[in-house]
Amino acid sequence: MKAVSKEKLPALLEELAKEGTLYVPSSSGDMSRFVPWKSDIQIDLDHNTTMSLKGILFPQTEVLYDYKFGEENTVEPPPPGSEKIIVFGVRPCDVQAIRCLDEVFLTRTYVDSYYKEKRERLIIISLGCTVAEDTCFCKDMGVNPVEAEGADMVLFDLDGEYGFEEKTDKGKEIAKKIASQLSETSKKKPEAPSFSLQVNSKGIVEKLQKMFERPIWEEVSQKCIGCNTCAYLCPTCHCFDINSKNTEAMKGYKYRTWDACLGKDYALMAGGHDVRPSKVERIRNRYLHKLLFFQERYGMFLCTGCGRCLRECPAGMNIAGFINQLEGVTVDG
Amino acid sequence: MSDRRVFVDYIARTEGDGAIDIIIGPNGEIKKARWEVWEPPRFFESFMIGRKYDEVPEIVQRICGICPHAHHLAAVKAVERAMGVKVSRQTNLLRELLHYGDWIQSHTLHVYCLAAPDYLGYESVLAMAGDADLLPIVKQALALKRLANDMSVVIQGNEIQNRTSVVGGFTSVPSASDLKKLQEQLKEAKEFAFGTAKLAAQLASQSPYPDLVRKCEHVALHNEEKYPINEGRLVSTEGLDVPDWEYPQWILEKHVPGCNCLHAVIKGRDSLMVGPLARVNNNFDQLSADAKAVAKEVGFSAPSFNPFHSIIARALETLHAIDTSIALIDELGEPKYEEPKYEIKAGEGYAITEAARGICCHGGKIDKDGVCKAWDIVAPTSRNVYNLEKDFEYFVPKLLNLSDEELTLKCEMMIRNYDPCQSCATHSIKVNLRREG
Amino acid sequence: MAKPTVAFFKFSSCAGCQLSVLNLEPVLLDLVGTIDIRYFVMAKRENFEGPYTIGFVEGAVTSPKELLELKKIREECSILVAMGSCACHGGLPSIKNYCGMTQKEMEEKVYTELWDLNSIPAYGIDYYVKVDAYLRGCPMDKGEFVELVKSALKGVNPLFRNHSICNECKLKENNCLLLQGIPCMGPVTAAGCGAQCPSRGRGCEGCRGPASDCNAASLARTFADIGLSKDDVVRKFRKYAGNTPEFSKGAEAL
Repeated sequence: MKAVSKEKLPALLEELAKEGTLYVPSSSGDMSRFVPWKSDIQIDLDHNTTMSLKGILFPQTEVLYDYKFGEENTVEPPPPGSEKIIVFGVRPCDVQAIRCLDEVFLTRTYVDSYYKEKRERLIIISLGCTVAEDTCFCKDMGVNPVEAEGADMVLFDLDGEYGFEEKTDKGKEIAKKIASQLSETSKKKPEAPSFSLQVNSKGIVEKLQKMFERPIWEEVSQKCIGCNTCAYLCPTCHCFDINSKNTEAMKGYKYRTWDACLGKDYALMAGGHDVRPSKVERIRNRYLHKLLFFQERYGMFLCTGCGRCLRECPAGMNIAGFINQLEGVTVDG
Repeated sequence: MSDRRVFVDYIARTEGDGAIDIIIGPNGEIKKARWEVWEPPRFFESFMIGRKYDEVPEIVQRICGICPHAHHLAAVKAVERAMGVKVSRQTNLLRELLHYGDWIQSHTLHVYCLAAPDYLGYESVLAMAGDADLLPIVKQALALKRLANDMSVVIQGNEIQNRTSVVGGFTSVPSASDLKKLQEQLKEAKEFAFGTAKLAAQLASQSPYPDLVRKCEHVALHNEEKYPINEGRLVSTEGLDVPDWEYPQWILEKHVPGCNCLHAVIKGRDSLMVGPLARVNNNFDQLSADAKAVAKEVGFSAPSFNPFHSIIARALETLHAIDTSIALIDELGEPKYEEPKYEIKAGEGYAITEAARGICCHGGKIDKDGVCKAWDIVAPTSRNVYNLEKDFEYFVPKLLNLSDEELTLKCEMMIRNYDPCQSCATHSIKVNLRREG
Repeated sequence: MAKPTVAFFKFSSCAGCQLSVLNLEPVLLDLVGTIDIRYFVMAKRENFEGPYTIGFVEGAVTSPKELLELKKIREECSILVAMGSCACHGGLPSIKNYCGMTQKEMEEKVYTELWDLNSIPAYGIDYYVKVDAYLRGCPMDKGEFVELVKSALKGVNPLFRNHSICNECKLKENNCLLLQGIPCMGPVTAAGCGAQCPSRGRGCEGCRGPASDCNAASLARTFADIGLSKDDVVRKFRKYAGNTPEFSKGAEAL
């Protein structure tokens, strides 16, 4: 396998940055996120980022088009980008999340041009995990924690150096560009890390199908304070709201912003009817979407076990705990 | 001949609800001269009992939307004195800058939006903006007010009610680059501030204002080192000179038979005036060099006992505030976040700050758990009520040749000289709910 | 089309919300051009009787006199807007409703002669009359004010999302203060301010009142978990909007 020593990583990144906009994980204060690489940036490859790379493909606020009224009414979407977007050091759970988003935004007759335009320019360089945090449970949600499926190139932490393996044509192309920086190593791919959190997701799809009306929803939603932290940090959540803003009397722009399902107004219909009037229905919808509905439609969980919502929930909500709680639930027939 | 009466049930272009009632007898004698504040009481001093020490500054800043920082900073200081909390130099500089921003905002609002329309014969600044000649000045005034509001937002996150200043310091500090931007804008604003001083002097020199002089005791903070805004001794033009925390012993409130207001007096003496004119009179030497120079240029000399010169004092202070803010930003350099650190202790503390409209006094007792046991608030407006009534008594007889309409306007202007904050007048003004006329 | 007539009224409050209107400097003169301000004592000397198209009311009702005026104002205004925390929920003056003293005891602490004080418990204006729109916050948010006026001119409902402050805080990518042990009312407080306080390291104090369907009881328990006493928790919920049933649940949870 090809590899680069850890000291030489900055030089390699500099090379990569020539190919497009390069994003790397970096911390500031208690927050970490993917930021455009600069030579003086402090890269943080020890932990997964607080914010996933979702925002790169599906920004928090995105202008859909500018409009103008007048003698002629015009609508003008923003021009597409041309640069490659290279994201370095993406953890397997977050690569899995991109696979989920791809299903939503690119398949089944709906193609989201804004997402697609950026997705086509995206190159994912994933970093396999050698340590699992106490909130990690990706392996139980069908993710390979070492070698991400769906990445263009995967990276292995080989103790002192990083091993590289290209997975797609895009990955091969990138590998060529950095070939001169790589040397051969005899080290082997690392073993999967051991997980302190064990989640039993076997059979939950079938079980949940029969659990729409159950007192358990009342119980698990008790603590939720509706802050939506889980949804905004979730690498797979993809709801958005569309609004327009008039900058002048006759012109303005249409934009979309992230939306989240745990606030009361989320499911409010124009006529005033709210289909999920209390947090019981909202939590049920959230959990079922993550664990059941997405499975039914796309054959995968919409939860990748990244653990962000466990770590950051101020009220202590815990979807992993919920899954394990299902073991004690019996459904008949 | 019957009595002549000047009655205004809602005084416009002041903050809060107040009324004037003046009755002039057949021989021109003043039978009654009353400024009645019927702003309903909100009982801050009562409901503050039982709140936590850190809520006190948060709550009292909501006494007044025009001078929230004066209330807030006086209360912060009083709590810090009660609990023996020391704060850093950076915190003091930021507090000063925050408060100077408030002065620029309040003075600009007063000079252009509340006072100037009287002198220029308009009913409001909005009407002034309808005059093509005045529109550019109105726009510049609004731009300066905007800048002052931006200062507040940069320093504490909101234009009015402060978000970051707390007991012990700040929960976050502004960035050096934001401060620099403000500094550039402040430098550009100086020219307009010069113009404001000249305009103010010109307005106050119209007849009959120069003749309306009445000597009274002017009270303000004083600090040898610098112009007083957040710290200084309590001094007056009649020789008062005591530490600020002793204010409860020196400024007394007495009930005068036949009058609904509690009257503020200096111990052993009579009524007092607080506000920008009182400050300039007691601290002229500490004004910035440019403010002193422009005072000389427009022919203003301290002390002045003409209350209509308050508008000039506000203009001078605006210029001084801009100069000082520019210097403070240099002194602050790159502010660093410092965690507010202190221990909760039982104690008693009093403090004064200079609100744009005069001394703002706060103080009380905190118990060992940090719970407020008593709190005293005296806002500048309530200090001035008695003195204003004396202005009426002294000046109205000089203006009897004016029509009712003109006389009413002049009486309103006598009130607006004090830039009163009737919401502020939390106590000492007894509420009168009379409705007449 | 005739310009809508607009009036500003003040009850028990600090005048900060009215000042916010005057703080609209960059758009103030444009705004004034689209409406006809008929009554605004703080800014104008010439003021006119109603009826008005839109009436903005600042302040809580704390006296019978204010109550009578409010009823008259309601009759005079086609659209009645509660402006700021005091008018929306009672605001800080409503602390007195829960401070454990009788009205008389409170009055005696501040005033010597009580015969004509006539103070009543402090409530927001919708305790007494129908309110058509709310501009929350202490002070109200100017941006929302402009949005409301624009919507009124267009004849549409303004879009104010009353989900919790957390939504705005998270979108700003702030770290959660609760997780750092700093009490924050964000999870139960209605958004719209842009999470001003938590973005600056200070816990939300709840000045915008309850978010829609908020879970105050759960937040009260979270507060207890991070070390607040029962009295502390009550103080948090009985501050700007203690009158509301939602925040009452928080105050009574422990």
